[in-house]
Amino acid sequence: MRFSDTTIGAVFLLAGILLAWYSFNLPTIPGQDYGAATFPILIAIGFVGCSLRLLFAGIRRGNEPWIFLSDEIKSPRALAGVAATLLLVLFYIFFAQVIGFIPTAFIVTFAMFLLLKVRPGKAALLAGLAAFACDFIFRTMLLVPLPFGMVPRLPW
Amino acid sequence: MDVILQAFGLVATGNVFLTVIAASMFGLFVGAVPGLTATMATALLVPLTFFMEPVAAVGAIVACSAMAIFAGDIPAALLRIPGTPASAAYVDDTYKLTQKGQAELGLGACVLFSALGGLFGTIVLIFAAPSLAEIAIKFSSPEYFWIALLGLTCAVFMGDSNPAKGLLSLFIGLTIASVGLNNPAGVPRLTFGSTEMLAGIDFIPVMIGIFAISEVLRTVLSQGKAWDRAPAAIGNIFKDWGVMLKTYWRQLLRGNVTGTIVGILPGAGADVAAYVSYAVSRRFSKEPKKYGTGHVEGVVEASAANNASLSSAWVPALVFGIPGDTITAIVIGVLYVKGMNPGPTLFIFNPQTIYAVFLIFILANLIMIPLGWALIKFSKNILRVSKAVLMPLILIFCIVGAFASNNAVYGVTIMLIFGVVGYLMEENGIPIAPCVLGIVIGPILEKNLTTTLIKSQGNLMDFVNRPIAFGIFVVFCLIWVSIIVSWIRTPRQTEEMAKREI
Repeated sequence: MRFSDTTIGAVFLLAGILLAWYSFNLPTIPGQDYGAATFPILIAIGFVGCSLRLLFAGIRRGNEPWIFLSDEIKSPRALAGVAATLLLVLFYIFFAQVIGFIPTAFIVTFAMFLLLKVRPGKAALLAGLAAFACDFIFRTMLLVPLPFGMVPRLPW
Repeated sequence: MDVILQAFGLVATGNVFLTVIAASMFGLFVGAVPGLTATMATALLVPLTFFMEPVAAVGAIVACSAMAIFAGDIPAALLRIPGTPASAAYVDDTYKLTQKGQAELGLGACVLFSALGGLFGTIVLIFAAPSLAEIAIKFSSPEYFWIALLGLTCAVFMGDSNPAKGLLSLFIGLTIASVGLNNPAGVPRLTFGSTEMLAGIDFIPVMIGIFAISEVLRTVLSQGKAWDRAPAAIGNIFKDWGVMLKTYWRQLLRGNVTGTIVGILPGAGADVAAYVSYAVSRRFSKEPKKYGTGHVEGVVEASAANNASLSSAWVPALVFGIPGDTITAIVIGVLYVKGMNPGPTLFIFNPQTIYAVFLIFILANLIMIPLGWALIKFSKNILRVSKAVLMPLILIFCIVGAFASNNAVYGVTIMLIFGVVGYLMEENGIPIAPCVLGIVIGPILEKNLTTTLIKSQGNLMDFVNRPIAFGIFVVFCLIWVSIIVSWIRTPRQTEEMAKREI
């Protein structure tokens, strides 16, 4: 998915203006002229400068479509794949704490394998291995507190 | 001489050797896992060092951090997922070399020049530590401000794309860096009411998202097409060493010096060193167009620089107890626990221990070559696995890595958001490197800018009225003049060429 220079310029011009407006409203350090707002305002000025340059270049180039869609994006299967990947990560974010790391990791990996057309038997085996290997490496060896959820504490 | 012999005696014990090798292997492993950094590897070692002799304890940390910084290059080259932030600077080059079937060239350069960079930094540490630390300690906020600004200027040299888009990427990075409470005024900024965002946006999940998740998304979109071109075998990594040393000795030297300087300055670590030296390399290269397309020149300079900075970060740490980066911050704690209190007295009261540590630096950088070779041999099997099998595994690994950065699911959310952002940026020709640079340097820049402004009550002359600050300011101005001249010249040259063709 590609946007034209005009679109990018317009979006970041808006972002720059919003950032500046937000920064002006930040509280100051009592008795000081400079504080939390100084740096973001400078960034906002930078955003506005760059986006004006892009807008200028885009407008000079003439009539460009606002957005170019590549062939890959136009394929519904590919788009569904991307949506599914994002949903799987969201699933992990919302459910890992409740269900526990191992089942969530298994579901995410297994679904990804199926999405990329790996045979279900192989996918289940690999997903199981990956979940247990990650649990062993990160929780047991590197002491990362991966959530247990509903799964009882493993002996290692 | 007597002291050096004593130091040899301290190092040449089975105990120290075994510890160094075990710590090296641990460092290689942690460095190669995306999301776990050299700092984290060092932190994980600390509890173990309580049970070690002083030399073995410090040696373990030295070996572990040096290996971790190098090992980050391996997943970067094979999968385009930098294992540590320091490898992110030249990930495009090493990855594209692998795609072209020249993985041995890229990885060989990483091993050799990491080791040489580390050795150079060690030599500087041994011979010049006290005098260099003397200069570094004179730096105050205006000097750091100019240094940070010089670092940001590198963003201009990094990509080949439109300068406006490169700068846009830099500003995105700076905005990300200004999220949270961690600013001179201590005011929560851009947190949108979220408690987790008060701590700011952690660099590690951003990096995992921007590099790895965007790659996963791209694979899902293309349904695994691009992979088959990458040849599965990695040739002899030692094969090109002679040629590389002969061709790129200047780059090696420059990378060593840049890395050492960045390392000595407190607050900037291996990641800044890698970015700055990659940009410097591109600026002075005869073939800047090739950078980012699988060209080994920048890899040579940047991988030498990040390991050099690692050793030289110990200069202020040992001489004054001021950490040069996050790793030495942990090291200082360990030094105190082991009764080796950092400071000038360290060199007077028990010089043999400190020389033993220096010897371990040399040892660690030498064993990096065989251990690195073994790890490359082992991990090249990844290239044999089909992308359909690899990508789901990478996804789950990234999720855990992002989680591990602050042990909260917040990291995974950040990773997901930046995965999409990274994908969109690359699709639109907005380079990623300046954004990462902005996140790394942003906090240093802001702190020193605001501090100087408050100190001087807004008088801008205070930024340049100290001798070192003025010197850096002059360098900064000269660099910008050369950039602007080259911007004006390039379109003219293109126009002239177009006319000639007509």
